[in-house]
Amino acid sequence: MNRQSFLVLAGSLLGVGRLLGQAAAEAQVEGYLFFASNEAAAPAQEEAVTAEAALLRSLEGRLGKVFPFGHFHLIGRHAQKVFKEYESWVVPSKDLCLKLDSRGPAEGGGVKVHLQLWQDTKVLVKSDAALLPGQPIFLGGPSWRRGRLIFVVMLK
Amino acid sequence: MKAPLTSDDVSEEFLTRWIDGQVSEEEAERVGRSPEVAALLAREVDLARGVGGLLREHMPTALEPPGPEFFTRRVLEEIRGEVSLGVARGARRRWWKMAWVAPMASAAAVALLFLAASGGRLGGGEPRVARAYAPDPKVLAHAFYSEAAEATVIDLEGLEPVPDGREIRAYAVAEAGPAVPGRGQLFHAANGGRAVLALVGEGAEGPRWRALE
Repeated sequence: MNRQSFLVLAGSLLGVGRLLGQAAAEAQVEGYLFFASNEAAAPAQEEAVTAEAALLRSLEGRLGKVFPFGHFHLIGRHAQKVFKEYESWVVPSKDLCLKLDSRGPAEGGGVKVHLQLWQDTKVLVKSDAALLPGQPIFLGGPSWRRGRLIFVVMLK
Repeated sequence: MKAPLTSDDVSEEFLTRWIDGQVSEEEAERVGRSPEVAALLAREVDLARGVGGLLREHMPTALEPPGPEFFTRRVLEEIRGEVSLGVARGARRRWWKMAWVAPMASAAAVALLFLAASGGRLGGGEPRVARAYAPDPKVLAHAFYSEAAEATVIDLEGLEPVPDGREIRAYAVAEAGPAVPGRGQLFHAANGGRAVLALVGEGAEGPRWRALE
């Protein structure tokens, strides 16, 4: 076996080992990007983003108890597994995205996470939090067009 | 009525309480009757805020402070306690004042502070609700649990608005697999499975995305 073949084989074995090691996801999360506004018209999007109606109604109602807006327009979403010892990105938009690091299981069936909310090249906030079943995390982001961008992350 | 405060009355303990907004009405009134002390305290507050900003700028993105209060009262307490060891009491305040404005000293202080303050606590322990920290000193991160919404809320105040003319390109993204060395990580649309985004790199400047459509 020549040197090149050996390196390819070794790399493949390492890759397989890593994939096997990370096979067990710690959690599956869902990230939603909302545009909160007092205007009923949703911002124009190249692609209409939807979610299960009941879930959307529930989230909109809960957001309305925290953020003083009349309408919460869903503009992006991303479902993502969170792997132990790996960082994961939740990217409903590359303009506002969330980096998650699992910190192990939390009491109550959830997962402890370290999260970072990024806007372009700037980290807006870092947080240690627990994602618990039925309890989303709302991140109130920057204002935009007489409204506000709000990132929601929750266990799926 | 007690006499106005003099600069000799401004102890380290009083200064810490002043910065923290924890002086009594009587003490505040005595400060108000002494323009010299009021000016001194204003300078100290500016200095403390400036140091907080320096520390935030120097902090590696991988590290987080032990709490949002870290940059105010705790900064003063920790740095005075750690940095001024062995410095004669009379010379102490002038010494640390000089250290504040020296970038090298502030960088060294960051390392010292994080060693002292984190003490292995970073990454450990169960967060009560959420601990949030905004690296930009102009931004305040309020973390709380909303009973009404049954949600943890991290509300950011002081962010720069996104320009109205900017389009926010958002997607419905399905599961992204783990990163593949040399290829980055591909993010596929939920409907159709085509790749819409690629994470092509990551560094101190954050993630580097490439739109694929």
